[in-house]
Amino acid sequence: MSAGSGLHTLLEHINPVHLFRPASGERSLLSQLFLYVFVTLIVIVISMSYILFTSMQLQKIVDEQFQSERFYQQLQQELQQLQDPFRSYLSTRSSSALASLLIREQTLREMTAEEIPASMDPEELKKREVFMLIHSYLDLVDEAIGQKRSRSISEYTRLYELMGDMNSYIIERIDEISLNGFRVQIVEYGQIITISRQLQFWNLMVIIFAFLWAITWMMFSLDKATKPMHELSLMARELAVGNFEVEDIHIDSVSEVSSVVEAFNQMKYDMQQYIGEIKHQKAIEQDYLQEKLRNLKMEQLLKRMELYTMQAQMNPHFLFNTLNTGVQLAILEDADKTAEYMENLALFFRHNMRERKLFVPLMHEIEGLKSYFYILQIRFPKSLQISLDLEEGIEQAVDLCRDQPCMIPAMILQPLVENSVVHAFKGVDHMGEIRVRVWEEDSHICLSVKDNGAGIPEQTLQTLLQHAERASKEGSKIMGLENVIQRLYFFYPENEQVITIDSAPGTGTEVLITIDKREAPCITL
Amino acid sequence: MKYAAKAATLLFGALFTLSLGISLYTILSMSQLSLRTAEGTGVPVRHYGVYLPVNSYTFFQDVVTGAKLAGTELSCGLSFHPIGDGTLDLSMARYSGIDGAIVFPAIPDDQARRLLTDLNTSGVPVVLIEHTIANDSPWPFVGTNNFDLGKKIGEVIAKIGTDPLHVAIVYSDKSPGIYAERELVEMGILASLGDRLGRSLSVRKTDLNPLDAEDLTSQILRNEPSINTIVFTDTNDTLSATQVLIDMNLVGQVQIIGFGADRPILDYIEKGVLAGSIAVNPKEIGYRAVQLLYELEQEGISESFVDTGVQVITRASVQELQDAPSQDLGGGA
Repeated sequence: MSAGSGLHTLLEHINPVHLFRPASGERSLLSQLFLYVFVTLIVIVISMSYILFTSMQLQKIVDEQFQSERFYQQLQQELQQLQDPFRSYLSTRSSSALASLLIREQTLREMTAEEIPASMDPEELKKREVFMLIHSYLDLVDEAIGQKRSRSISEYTRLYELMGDMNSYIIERIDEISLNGFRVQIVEYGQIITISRQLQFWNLMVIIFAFLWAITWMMFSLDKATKPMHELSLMARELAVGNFEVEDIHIDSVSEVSSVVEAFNQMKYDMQQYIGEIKHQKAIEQDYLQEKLRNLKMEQLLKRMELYTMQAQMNPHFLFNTLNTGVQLAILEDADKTAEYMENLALFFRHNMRERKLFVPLMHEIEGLKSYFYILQIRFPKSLQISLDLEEGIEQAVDLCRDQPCMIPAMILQPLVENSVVHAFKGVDHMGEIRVRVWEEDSHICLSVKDNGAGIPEQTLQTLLQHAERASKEGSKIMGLENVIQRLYFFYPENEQVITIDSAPGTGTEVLITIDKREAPCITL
Repeated sequence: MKYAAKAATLLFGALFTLSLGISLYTILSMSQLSLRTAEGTGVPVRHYGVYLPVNSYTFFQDVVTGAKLAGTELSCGLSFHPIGDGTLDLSMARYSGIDGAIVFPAIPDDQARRLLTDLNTSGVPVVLIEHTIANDSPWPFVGTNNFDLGKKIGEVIAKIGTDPLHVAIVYSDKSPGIYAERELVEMGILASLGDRLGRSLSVRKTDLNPLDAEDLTSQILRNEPSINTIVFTDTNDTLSATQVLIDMNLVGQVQIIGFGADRPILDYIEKGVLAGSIAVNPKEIGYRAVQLLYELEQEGISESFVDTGVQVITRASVQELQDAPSQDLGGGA
């Protein structure tokens, strides 16, 4: 996965075509915003409609309160207006008066067509009586018209008189009913006014709370829709400073936002992987360069070690030839001891120059040391006592890592003994003793060179045991003990305890070399 | 922010719903009020008209109470109308669609007879209360027998009065039923007292003025000192006269026989200010009138006379009446 693929994923997700393609089960941003606005407006519209409805209902209720009063007023007018055409018809027999009379009669019959049953309510009974009186009155009108047509003067005159009283009576009754009704309605109107005030108050509350509800709901909804964007910006900020460990954003939101969030999470994951890969490759390159540098340094060191080794050797051919000449001369003169000495010296040199190898078998090193010991005993027969203590079977020791006879760096024991001979007994009165021991301990080969000389000062010890600074030592000779120490450090860089020195002024010095048979030296030339 | 917005949304949503609910409840309760105004209550089967004189006296109020009680029991709607004083209600009764009429005929007899006959002709049954028109009237009657009323008055006078008995009887326009049959009342009194009357009954009359009795009593007591017993036929007149008697310090010297069983009258009797009282039962009259009319209308026949009785209240019996305040005893006719 590359950075390009991460960006590609993001670009693919925020593609306009993809943006308006809602995932299954999710609403799109457009539909969500439409829903928010629509629901808000619906709440407001419903509230307003409700207020309008209640206002109309209120008007209707108030109107109903006075509807009956208007009805009775109209009824009274019709009754009063019926008297004129009735009188006119009876006196003139006018057809226009009759037509007017019949029209008004019909109007009154229609107005009082409602059948009012008997009721326990006194007001309803009064209304019933008025209606019945009007019906009777209209029946009498018809009867009077009939009497007029049949010219029964006395009858229609009587009826006219009766109906005059009746008309007045009905009008009075209507007044009474209307007045009583008005009195009742005045009381009820007061109640209605009180209730309508309450209604207006609660309607106001409805509008206020509907508005607040719609606003808060819209704020809540918009916050829900925009919150992922805010979180995305925070995540982007974290990514910008290189923090790819921020948690993924998981938000249930509109499809577009969900897609962007998903793409963003994916992009973060891809970038994280990509940067990880770059870091890994850089680390490999770094390791490679370091290894290369190390190899170069090792080559330099190797050359320097060879130089050291060369420095530790004498001019072999000259010395060897010279010594052989000496041995032949001693034989010719019958000087056996001299001859033996010269022979050991020759063996020692031959040992040294036999091979220019960095590592030699352990026993080879010991054989060389024995020749050197003979020479030292001849040189210091009374002042130096030297001993070689080999553990039994040490000659069979093998390297565990290679399964071969144990190999140790060449020329490491002789320089140590030589160092003791040269430096340890300066200003010492007692008999000098040098003891060399070789033994196996667990998986280690231990080589110890111990003297009872003056010891090495602590500061000198610290200086000796320091790893050589190549630059400063470059081109200078490193001899004796320091040569051995630096070579051992070079061959066994992982083993800091490959050589230790136990020394104190006046108590002697023991140099202990501990070589792990399991550990292969860093170079095996 | 998220939780605040969510909480505010829920809060305002709840308040909106609450306000809407209360508003709806208010408009519904208002609609119910309107509905109640428009619809009325009950579905009775009969419609009776009750025609009583226009006044606010206890007697008629109790008659109305009794009639309403019976109307409720029998599912009869009652419409109350005035009679007399030139009102046309009884004249228009036969056109008003009523199923029956209860009439206190406080109008001239001939007029009453004519109107009642018209009603009968129109098929509207009629029951008269406390007032007969003529002995041979065909209309059933509910009330007291005024002869019995007179006899009871006579018995009280005979019991408390000292001979020679000089009795004045005061009728009233406020009790037209008694006044209309004053002859029967007087006959009853004479039947009870017989020869004990020192002279003939002194007859007086008050009008509808509630204070009229005060003046009349004062005149009697001043101008006719021989009169030692005064009989009243109306509760208001009784109370007014008693006050005059007390003011003139003639309690015990002049005996007053009142009318009705109102609480002040009972108190006066207990204290000995009033010698006694005659009580009829107007609630019973109203109740029985509706009952009788219903019977007549439903079955076409009924009793011709229902006597609701007369009660004599004396100092001995007043305690019993005071202990039973809810007893259906009314005022004067």
